Amino acid sequence: MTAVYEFIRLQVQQWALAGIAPESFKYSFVINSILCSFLIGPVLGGIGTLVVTKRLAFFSQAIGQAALTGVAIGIMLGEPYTSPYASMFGFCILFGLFMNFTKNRTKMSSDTLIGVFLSISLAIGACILLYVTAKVNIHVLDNILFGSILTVNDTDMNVLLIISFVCVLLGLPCYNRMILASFNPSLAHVRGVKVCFLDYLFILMITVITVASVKIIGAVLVEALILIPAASARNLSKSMKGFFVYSIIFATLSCVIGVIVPMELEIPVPSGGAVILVASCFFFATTIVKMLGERTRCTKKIR
Amino acid sequence: MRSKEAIQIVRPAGTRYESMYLCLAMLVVILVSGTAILHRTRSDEQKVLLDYQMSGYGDLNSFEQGTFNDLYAAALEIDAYHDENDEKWPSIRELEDQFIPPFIHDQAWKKRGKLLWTQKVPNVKYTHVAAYMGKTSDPEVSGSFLLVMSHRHRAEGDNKSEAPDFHEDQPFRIWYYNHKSRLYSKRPRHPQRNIPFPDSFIIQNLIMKGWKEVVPYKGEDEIRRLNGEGYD
Amino acid sequence: MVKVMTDLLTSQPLPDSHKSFSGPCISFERVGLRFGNTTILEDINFNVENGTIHCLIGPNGGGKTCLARSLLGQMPHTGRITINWPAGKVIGYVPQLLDFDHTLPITVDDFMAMICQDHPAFFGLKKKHHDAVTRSLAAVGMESLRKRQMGQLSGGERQRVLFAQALLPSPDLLILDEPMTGLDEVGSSLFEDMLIKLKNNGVTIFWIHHDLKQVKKMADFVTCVNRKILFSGSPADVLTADRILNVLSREQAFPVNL
Repeated sequence: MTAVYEFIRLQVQQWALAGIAPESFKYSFVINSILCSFLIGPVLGGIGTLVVTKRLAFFSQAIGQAALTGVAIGIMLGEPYTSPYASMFGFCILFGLFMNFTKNRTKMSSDTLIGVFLSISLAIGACILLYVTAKVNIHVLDNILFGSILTVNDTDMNVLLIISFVCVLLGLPCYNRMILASFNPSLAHVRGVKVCFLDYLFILMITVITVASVKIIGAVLVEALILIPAASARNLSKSMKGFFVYSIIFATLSCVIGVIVPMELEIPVPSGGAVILVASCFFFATTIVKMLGERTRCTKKIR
Repeated sequence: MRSKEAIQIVRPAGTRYESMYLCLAMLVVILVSGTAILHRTRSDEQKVLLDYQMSGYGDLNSFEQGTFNDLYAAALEIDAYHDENDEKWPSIRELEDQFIPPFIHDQAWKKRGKLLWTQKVPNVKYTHVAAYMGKTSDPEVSGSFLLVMSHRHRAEGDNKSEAPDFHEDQPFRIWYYNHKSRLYSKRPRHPQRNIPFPDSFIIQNLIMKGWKEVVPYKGEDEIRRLNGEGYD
Repeated sequence: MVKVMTDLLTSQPLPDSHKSFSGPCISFERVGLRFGNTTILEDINFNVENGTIHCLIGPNGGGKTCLARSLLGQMPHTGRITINWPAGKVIGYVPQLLDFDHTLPITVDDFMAMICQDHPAFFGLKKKHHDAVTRSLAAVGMESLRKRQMGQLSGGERQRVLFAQALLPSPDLLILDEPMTGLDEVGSSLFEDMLIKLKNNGVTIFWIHHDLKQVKKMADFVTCVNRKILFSGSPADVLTADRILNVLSREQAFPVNL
């Protein structure tokens, strides 16, 4: 895989030298970050439509917070502190599965339950972090919390690539069934959908893609990139097709713009923050468009 | 879809399987991530001491430990000085004037074998290097120390340093030499009583000359010491 | 997963051709259902004949929906539920409602695509399902609204879509969970026509309902459930004025009577 990355980087660097691409593209970290954007944008945009349809936004937020605790555990157990993937994946998957299990077993409303779990994971994280900060510089955590696309290395890209591939492979064939299961589980069951299993599968999907994006967007903000492009797309679209396509376009554009603009203008902001700010701009723009559209429709009706 | 069996008994929905499969899945996750964590941390620990390195905790006597700790703190100051003062390295005199141990001649300095400090700044492209050597006056009390500062200026571009064996991943390294130390049972074959200031600070060269890199000890080692365990 | 369309819907809109009772018969034997300490159903015994309309009535919270879901294998019931299939084994199910965010941009076509194909709905309805979907939407009079968003439909229109969905592929057993809620006059009579046509095709229809007038008109058999079976038989026999009064007064006295 490294050979492929190297090939792409060399190619783009040549373009940059020849003046076809912007000058900053001669740095390999810039190209890395653009590659990541094009990978993470479509995947998160697509999954976002599912999250919004299934009303699981708060859930994915909880997973993002759990990633923070995963990092703390990883550093405590002695994993390399720039990429404690084993503990992040391990803890977040356990956390997600157990949360869903509890949701199935109790009659608590899901927002109460998620709230409880979120606080538990943060509490664990806080306790361990205190121990961890004695060992490493606290600023290392900034990268995990808010993302640092400029420090992405080949390992991070490999993880992201594999996870994206898995998500696409699982998500596309199960897309309809996952939505149907949330509309009416009974109907879905009659239609031969394994409702319970798909619930777990979906949670697994959100969890792994969240963890894989932590390095780029940051644990706190991954959920925003899942939610905001899909919410913006909902403002504009009239059918599933538009919903899905717009969501992917918004997510990818947010990533690319959020990465390139601060770099070109030399504004020192974390990549995650910039990406989410761009996504929010899309959201407000589409909301205004929607409001204007509704007003004209109303006036037409009155006439 | 159509089965031959025409009579179907509707099976009640159970939640037994869910719990079972969930436990199974969780077990698998714990095992896999556990193994991954073990694997990733072990490879890190192996790196701790290479054969040209020594431990700042286990292999130095208490006088030397004092010098080493002071030198470690001083190195951070020197690095900062270099950053702030137009990429100049401070001279021994300047360090003494600023009362930075172990360069000042105080009581501790006398007790710790009266190291005599000299400085060398070789002219190297891309990487700014400076070396400070403290030669011992009493080998029975303390060995000699060598502090090698290397400051790579990355801002100029992404090009790799031409001398990869300079200490590019660390801003400084601290080396130790004592011909009387038990560390030199074999190498170098003819321990020199008077070690000269090295001409080249490439790691290979220092190793050849018999210098040992001192690796600072961490909190974990201190915990082990308090627990009465030896350092391995 | 995607079942092949049988010949039921191939001619417009629903033919009165006589299939020789393709629908199953169902028997409930000593069926019970408990959640913790709450008994929801106990000792339910009755049969559903094939090719008939069998109505299930009873007060709210009396366990009607739970009984239907036990039949679908979605409840941890005790006792024995047997379905005897003479031919196909396709179940059509019309749920009470869809639980979704009404601002979602999901059109009727998207919903139908979600129902009958694995191919993601945002890629559009596949050609091979297109005709079948058109026919079933036409059968409930929703063809003209197929590009409309689900959230913008009225309650009755959404019920029609749910009904259309149950006709894909053509069912042998149709289970309806109070589908008339929110339906207007036109929709209601359309439903009646559809059900009679399906019945004539031999489909067994298991229908949870609360409109006793319509039950009396439509049903071949009726069973009243409130935890236990109160009565069961043909509407002419069992729906006496006394009993109707009894059911209604129970409903008023114990609106949520678990």
